[in-house]
Amino acid sequence: MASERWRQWARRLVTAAVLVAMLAPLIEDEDGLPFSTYPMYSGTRSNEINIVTAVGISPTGEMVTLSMPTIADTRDPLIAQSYLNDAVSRRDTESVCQVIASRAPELARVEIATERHDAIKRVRREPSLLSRTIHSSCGPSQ
Amino acid sequence: MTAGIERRARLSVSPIAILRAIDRWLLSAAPAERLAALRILVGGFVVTYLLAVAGEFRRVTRLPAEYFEPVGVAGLLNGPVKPEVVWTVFALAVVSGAGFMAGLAFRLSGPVFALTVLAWASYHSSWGQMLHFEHLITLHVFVLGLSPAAADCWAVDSARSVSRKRSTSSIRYGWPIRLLALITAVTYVVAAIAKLRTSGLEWVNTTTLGNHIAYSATRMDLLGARQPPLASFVVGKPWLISSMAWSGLLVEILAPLALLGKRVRNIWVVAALGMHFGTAATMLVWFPYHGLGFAMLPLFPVERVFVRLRRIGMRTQAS
Repeated sequence: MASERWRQWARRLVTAAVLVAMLAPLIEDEDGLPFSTYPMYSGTRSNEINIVTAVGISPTGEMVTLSMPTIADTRDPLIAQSYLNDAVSRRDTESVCQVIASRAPELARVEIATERHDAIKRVRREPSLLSRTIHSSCGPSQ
Repeated sequence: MTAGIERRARLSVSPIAILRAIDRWLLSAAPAERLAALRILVGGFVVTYLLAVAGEFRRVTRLPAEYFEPVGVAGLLNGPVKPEVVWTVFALAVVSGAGFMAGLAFRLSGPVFALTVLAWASYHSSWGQMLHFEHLITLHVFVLGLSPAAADCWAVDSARSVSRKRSTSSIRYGWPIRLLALITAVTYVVAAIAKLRTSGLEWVNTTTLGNHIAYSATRMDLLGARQPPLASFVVGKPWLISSMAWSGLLVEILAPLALLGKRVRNIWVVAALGMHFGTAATMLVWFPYHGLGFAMLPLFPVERVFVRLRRIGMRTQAS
């Protein structure tokens, strides 16, 4: 009987500890694992967005959209995008460009660039590109 | 007059009465089969998920060391581990996960599965992108893996046990299930608080969600994938954007209501699944554990599905 009462208190304490652990990241505003603030898409966003892209240039000079496996060896858009974002923030676009180019030897060049788009226009299939800054341009043989 | 006072007395609930009600809810009994069914279903989902993302294990072994930004238990590491270690974690997770599902050597396979899932989720998110769909999976596996009672029935261990217990209802089965349900509800509430704290009511205006949807669609487009099927339909319809934002926020913040009773639980689960399917259709953001309803299973008497399936099987055999 006494041990059952002890168990019940242990269950209450564990429950309280789990709740505190789940809510604590909110106080410190610190995203972690397995306890998170779940900040994805929680902020406001303008319709004009900067987005890091990797595109291919064919031997005839046409721009070719690259797939996620070619860009980042993944099918997850979050991972592919963060791979490119990291490359820019670490000023490591040259080596990332080479890695991508090695996965697409049929291309003449690969470019990593930050593009500014009107995202609403892009969804409506209207011309959306506002500006483009190239970080790196590389070919398979370079 | 007296009836009115009684009604007022019933309506004015003291904090102590609320705490007692929460305590009764938390420490209520449940059948052993319910916890066992959750072990099988959650374990089955996670093992299938790990096998489906085996390519991710390969991917992280190829990333440059300077991209390593450890989170969770990966913070204990000095840097990325060798590919052999990653594949050992994968093998351990799959093997212990199979033991977890089958209830085989559960006092070992349960904790090992929980630890390997935590290790994998931490390592997977340690490359610059926090993958929030693995948080709830990790927490649920931890609760189940550290609950030895989860293998008291419908398990290899219990089938082999000489002192096999008769199926019973007990707090030892009920409490882990309540904890799982509570974790699901709090996860949604935390997500709602993040939105309100970061953006306030601007999050539910006629543009914010539309811009998020347009951003996701643009990103998919530039990454060589298809745009989300309903993105172009909803973008540019302010009333629809605001309605979706309000309903999503309400689903998240009202999640604890799902713990109160069958009817409100059913309404909330349908609304939450609708939100996840809506997010997938407009943003291609898909949380499989949540969207396929596995996160909500602790809210239901899931063992009845197994019992019904067994009856159907026996009837088929008899005929």
